[in-house]
Amino acid sequence: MKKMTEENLKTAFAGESQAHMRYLIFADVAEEEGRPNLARMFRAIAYAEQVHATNHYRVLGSINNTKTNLQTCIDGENFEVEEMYPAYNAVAKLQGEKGAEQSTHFALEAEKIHAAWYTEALQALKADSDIKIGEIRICSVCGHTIEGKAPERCPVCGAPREKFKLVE
Amino acid sequence: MWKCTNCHHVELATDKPEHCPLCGAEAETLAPHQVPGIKGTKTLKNLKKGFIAESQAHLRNLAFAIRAEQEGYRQVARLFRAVAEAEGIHAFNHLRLLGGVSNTQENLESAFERENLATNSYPQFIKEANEEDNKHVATIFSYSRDVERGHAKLYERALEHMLGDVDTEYYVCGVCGYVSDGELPDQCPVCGAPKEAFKHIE
Repeated sequence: MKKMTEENLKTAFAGESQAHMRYLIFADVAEEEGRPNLARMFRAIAYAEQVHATNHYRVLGSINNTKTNLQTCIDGENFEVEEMYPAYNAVAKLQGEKGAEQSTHFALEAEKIHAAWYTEALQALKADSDIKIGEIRICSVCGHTIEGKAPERCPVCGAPREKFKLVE
Repeated sequence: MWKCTNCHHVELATDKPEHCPLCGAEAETLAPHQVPGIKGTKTLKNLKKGFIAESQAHLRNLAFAIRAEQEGYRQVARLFRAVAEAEGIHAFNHLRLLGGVSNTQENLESAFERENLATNSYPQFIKEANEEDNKHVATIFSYSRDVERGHAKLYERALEHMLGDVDTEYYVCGVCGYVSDGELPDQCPVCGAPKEAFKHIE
């Protein structure tokens, strides 16, 4: 693919990804404000942006077989764990930004687990089998990712058990 | 940092831009702005980059999950979805700190302007894809352009009524992202996909 088109596709993928996320968040706000119909509209448009982002990503040739996809994920998580979040966290600490220090810490801790699980999944795939994994739950406050039952409190952010969400 | 009084866009630049980069309003609509509780520009930039990276990771993982299902790896698919969920929470945390989450009135206004900006970016992308002879890419870009226009209209209507008592069903085309409010069409008017390609939004 020619360079300019490739750059445009990357820009479009980034833009649509952010729009998707932003609208899902706005849907939650609308829900909290007691506007369920509006929340549904935000979710509908968020899904549409997901379709666009996925189309751009596919045309970029970035959706491969699962083995390659897992490697992409491992590389991405490792970059975040080893370079991106430690640097962001250090700057936030230096500038006395408590909120940002916390949100980058939450992300860093979860990405470590993700990288480990992806690695395990890739090893299973190389042995020609699917990964064996039980129920997966996510803390809706910090994104901490666990296998099995929800703990009394989230070990990363301290949120109570009810904050954990089961992934179907 | 600047906040546009017209569309509520927050611009991280230190120097005042000549126009609002989102809605294009004149410089006088840009008022000095500080995100409550956040000092320094490095942290702000990092939060913004964090939001972009997490949003992309969220969708990348959802796309990979679909592929893993197709290949018969159901557990890996579930893992992809789980991590996507976690990345979404991180993105949410970053955006909240950036001051990007307001009340619904402001959220709708900012969503409306963003859709217009997206609609205006795609024609150039389509032109360049055609110039470089990437016809299939031009088609994909044109789907997005046509659909964003419809989104802006939906937001505009929501702003007028705040959708108080209107109970509308939404169906979204899984091929091009067209949003139908009210009924499930036989065929997608944008890309021609059949009714089965539509997803009903709960």
